[in-house]
Amino acid sequence: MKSLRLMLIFTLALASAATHAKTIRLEVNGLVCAFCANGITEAFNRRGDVSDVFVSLEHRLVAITVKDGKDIADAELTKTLTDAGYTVVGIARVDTTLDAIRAEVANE
Amino acid sequence: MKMPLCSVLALLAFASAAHARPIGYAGGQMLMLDASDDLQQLSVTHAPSFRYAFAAGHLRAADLTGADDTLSTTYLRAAILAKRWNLPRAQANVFVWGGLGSARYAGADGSRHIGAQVDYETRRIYTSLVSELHEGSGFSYRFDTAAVGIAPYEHDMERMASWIVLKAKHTSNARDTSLKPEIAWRMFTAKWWLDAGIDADGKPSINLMLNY
Repeated sequence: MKSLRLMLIFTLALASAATHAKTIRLEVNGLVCAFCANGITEAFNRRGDVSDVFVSLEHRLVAITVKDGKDIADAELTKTLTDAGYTVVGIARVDTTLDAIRAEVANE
Repeated sequence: MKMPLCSVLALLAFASAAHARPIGYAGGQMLMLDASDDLQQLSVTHAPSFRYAFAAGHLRAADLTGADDTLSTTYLRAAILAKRWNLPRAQANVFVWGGLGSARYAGADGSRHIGAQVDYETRRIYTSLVSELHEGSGFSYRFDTAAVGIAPYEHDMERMASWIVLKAKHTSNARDTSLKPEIAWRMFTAKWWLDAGIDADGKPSINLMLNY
């Protein structure tokens, strides 16, 4: 009975992860110009696994939503930013949504 | 008499003096228009990487050679980002460029040029040094430009940037040598860039760039 309950919880957790998009925050050096940093948005949009991108020069922040609750390896994230001409100094996976991050930045 | 030229190294470096950077973002295209009393130029740039870009364009420049004629050149150009420093709240770059093309103007049969740019910017301060040398049979042209920009507020991706940019432009060619100050109002967003300037003689100029 106990193992059945654990299996049910695990199954529900997996189902929850599959239906919620994953949000990743990247701390980036070199973000000083919107005209140039537009390339970051374009680079992530060209990937098939990213559904939304948010860039804040003020917060040195690039935040993305990954489709279907999947993840992107740190090395791939770093390569995408490096190929766009910027330097990644931190990566964090967070529970909040991209819209919540936008609202948080807008309210500061 | 106007004569066609082959193997003319591009003279588009004039444009490089007008805008902030000769390379757009990786995988993107940039349409650029320069217009002033002495210079008109239209070019398209494609950047396969943030480290290099190719451009094609057409340029007309008045009295460039010291002869009473208008230089007209169609060119292909390559630009390279030689070095970039990404700092927490700043960025610095070293660019070099050159090109090939064809041109028409009186009394010359070839040309070559070399150019470089060093810049440093934050969200409040912009500085750059641009140096270019053009030489050919019948003409020689060099300019060095120092620019300092100040932003009254820090822009972000969703807010238009607004800058005041002061330039000191030293020019030397077959006719004369001059040093002129210029002032420009720079505005840009993620998609477009506009410099609207005026020099010490009261001559206006614009530099418009579109990312797409």
